[in-house]
Amino acid sequence: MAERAAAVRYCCAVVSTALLLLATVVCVNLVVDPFGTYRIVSVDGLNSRKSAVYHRVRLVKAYEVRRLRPRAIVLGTSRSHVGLRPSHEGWDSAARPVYNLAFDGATTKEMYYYLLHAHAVQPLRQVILGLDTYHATTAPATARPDFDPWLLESGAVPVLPSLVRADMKILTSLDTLRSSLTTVESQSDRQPAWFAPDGQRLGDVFFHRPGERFEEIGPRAYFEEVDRLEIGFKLEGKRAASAQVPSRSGPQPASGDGTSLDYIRRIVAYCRAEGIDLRLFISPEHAHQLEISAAIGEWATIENAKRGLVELLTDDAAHHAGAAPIPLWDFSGYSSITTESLPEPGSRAEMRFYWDSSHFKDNVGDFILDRLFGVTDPRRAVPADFGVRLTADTIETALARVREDQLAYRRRNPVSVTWIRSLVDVSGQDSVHGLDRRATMAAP
Amino acid sequence: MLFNSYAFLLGFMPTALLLFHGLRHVGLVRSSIALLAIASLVFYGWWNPIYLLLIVPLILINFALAACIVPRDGRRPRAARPLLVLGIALNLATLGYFKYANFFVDNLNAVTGLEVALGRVVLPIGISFFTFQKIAFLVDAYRGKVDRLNFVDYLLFVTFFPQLIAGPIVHHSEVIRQFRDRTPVSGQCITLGITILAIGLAKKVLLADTAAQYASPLFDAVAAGARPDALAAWSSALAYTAQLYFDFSGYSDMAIGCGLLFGIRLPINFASPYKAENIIDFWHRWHMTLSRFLRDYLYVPLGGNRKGRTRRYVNLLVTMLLGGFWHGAGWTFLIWGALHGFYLVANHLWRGLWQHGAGRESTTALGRGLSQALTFMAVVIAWVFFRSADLSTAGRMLLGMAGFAGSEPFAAGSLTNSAQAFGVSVVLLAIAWVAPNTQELTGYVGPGGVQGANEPPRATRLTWKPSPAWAVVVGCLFGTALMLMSKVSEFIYFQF
Repeated sequence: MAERAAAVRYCCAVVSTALLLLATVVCVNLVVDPFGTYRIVSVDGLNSRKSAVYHRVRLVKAYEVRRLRPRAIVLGTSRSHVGLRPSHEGWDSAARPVYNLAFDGATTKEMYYYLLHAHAVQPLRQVILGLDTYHATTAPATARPDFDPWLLESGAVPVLPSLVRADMKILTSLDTLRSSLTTVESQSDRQPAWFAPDGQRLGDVFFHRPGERFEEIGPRAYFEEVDRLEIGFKLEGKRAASAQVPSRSGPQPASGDGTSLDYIRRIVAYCRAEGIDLRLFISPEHAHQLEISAAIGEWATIENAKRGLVELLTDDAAHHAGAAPIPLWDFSGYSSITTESLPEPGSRAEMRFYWDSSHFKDNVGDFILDRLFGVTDPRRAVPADFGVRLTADTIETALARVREDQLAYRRRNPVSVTWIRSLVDVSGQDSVHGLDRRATMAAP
Repeated sequence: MLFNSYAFLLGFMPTALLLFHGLRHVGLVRSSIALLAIASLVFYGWWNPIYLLLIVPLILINFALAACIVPRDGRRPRAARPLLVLGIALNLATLGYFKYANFFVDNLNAVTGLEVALGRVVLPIGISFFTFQKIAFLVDAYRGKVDRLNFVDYLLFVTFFPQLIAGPIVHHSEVIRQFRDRTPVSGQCITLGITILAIGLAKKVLLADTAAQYASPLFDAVAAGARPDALAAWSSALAYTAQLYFDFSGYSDMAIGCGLLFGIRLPINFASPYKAENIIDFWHRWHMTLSRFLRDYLYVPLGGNRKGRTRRYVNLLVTMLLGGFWHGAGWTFLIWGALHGFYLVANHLWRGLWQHGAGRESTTALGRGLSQALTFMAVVIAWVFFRSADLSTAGRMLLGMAGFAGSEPFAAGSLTNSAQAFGVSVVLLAIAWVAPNTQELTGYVGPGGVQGANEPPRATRLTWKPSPAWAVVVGCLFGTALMLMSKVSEFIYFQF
């Protein structure tokens, strides 16, 4: 009996020590609250500045939605995150507050679950869905490693156990403790906050931070650097897809999870079923991005993606004949916006519409929202060639028009196009990671 | 349910322990064994309840077959042999279909140009492990080595959740005797159990998952077509070497720890394998229960070393080749197995040379150190095949390790990352080389008093005892591991 009693004492000591350690960490994380998820105390010099939020945007936005209870949201990737203003006057006045729920590298699966989450927290009235052409493909639906469905409400599972689990996971995590310590240490940093309370990433602040590459090397060089990175990403993705790298993390369950395009279909169906005003757009990447895609051999994929979206929405409209069709606007052609010239080499002049070839500024975002909401503002006339409404009747004409514009762009910008093609050729022959970062575009 | 999940550690285990010891406390010993069997089925069904539709019928059929072939009054039933063959064929066919069908169809299509479509066969988790255990039981039932058949004992022998998914591969004689033991679970079992469980969890989340951060990205990039330079290739190969050891031995420790909490001693599976001085020694230290199974149920039935030297080497090669194939349906696993087969043959030839008067194997510190280094390198090279997604990936990795990288640096800033990965891997491997292993630290012995490897455990100054100080250390280890579990990762051996 004595031996058993000693064993019980030993086990209790082990468990108590572990629990005490966990409780200490939970308390520290709860008080410092590095991601601003609980907001119990805010003390200058301790935790009022939350620098860790910049690295955990998916997590922070899940909690912000719960706190702010928006009636309208933006879904999309970093392009929408940077470029779309929730304060745009075109949003339905009955749909305030508006929250920019887009985040970097968002996949359609993630967008779907964040849509469900936002609608479970507060019934939504309006959703703007910003897509990139790679979203509307039959590639398997995926989610990023930091996507955690337990953070999200869906209306289907009991909220409390899910929240307790999610909160405990955050509060007991050593990563959160590290973020808490960093938060305390970084209170004296006077870095400006680029994460706006309405969810937008403020480009004017973000890109001009000290040490940011845009600020460091200048807009023109930064633009080229992003082009080179984009080529690397696209080639790597293409190689991985063709190699069909099998997972080594264990047997994969039959997911039946569907494709990336399937999740767009789910978003559309969900908004229909819930009576949410949904509007879609394909984002206006700079013409350089289009040329990169073409040089890599993805042009047909882009066109098929647009056709797939139109087909999806046509089906939806056919099933809801009495209701207004869900609009899809395509801004990804060669327009006066997307073909904006680059600053002179060596100059530090900024572009008017773009931070880099991927991310547009919020003046372009305003044009997009003007088109989507049908707003006419005399202070900012939307260029006539910017954006085309894609329907079953217009899609082929629109695609043909983009091809014509592409030829015209290539005639007008031979240096840019040749530079992009040469980069793709060089990178395609060599290791993805062997991309020569020093290559620059000759002066046009 | 993963061992390194909150659901298991904070939900399933405490519930199962409370119910098990509660039943024991009121004297319902056999009910506690039945409860453990049911809990094990719940544990297995947690992944996907549909898996139960495979494992339960297989258990029923195997038990019925065993009951039909077990000798009665010293006489073997006439139909015993065909029934044994039927049973083995059934188990192997099931394993073959779920694990190898896609591989054979893919290769058939590649060779013949056909387009045979099989669909995607999903591998039920743990099937390789429980298939082995069921076959061993049938064979021993046929040989008359099973003393008393009892369905509940058999059910728990196959499904006992600590070892169901990734071993240790237990022999029925080791555990069924323990299931029937009616003496109370000792306090020592409980204290040792919680300690070894915490050590295993810490190995997994502190060491293996750290190594994985350095191994996985590069192997994945190489699989996607990149060509690594020497430093990058070596650093990720070493990182994977550390990852696999801490991952699998961590899992085995957790299994042993869980078993002890229910009063069941499971066999030791690892005994500091990277300290091995030759490949024969390595296989006495690495995945020891698999080595034992392959020896007793494959190598020996093939003739072992009883039919001359040449046949012995062929048997060794065949055994290791099949051992490789058991790990996965892929050419990389076959080559890994073949490599180890060749290593073992070379090792035996080398030993034979010394035994024929050419001298003695080195016993100097330098000689032993060199042997250890050579063995380790051979193991690392084989792991490259084991980890690589395909043969071309392994080829690019090995070319990189040999210094035949492209002219471009592997990645922007890769030198720093690779150097860091190399440094971290060496530190982790140093733990494997220098630190005492779990049984040396805790004094754990497996069923039958076995402590692992072919050498007595080394004395260590750091010996665990159930003192308050050790309770605090183990509690801190447990708490830290729990804090790291927010990033849950699967154990590598679950895929086999």
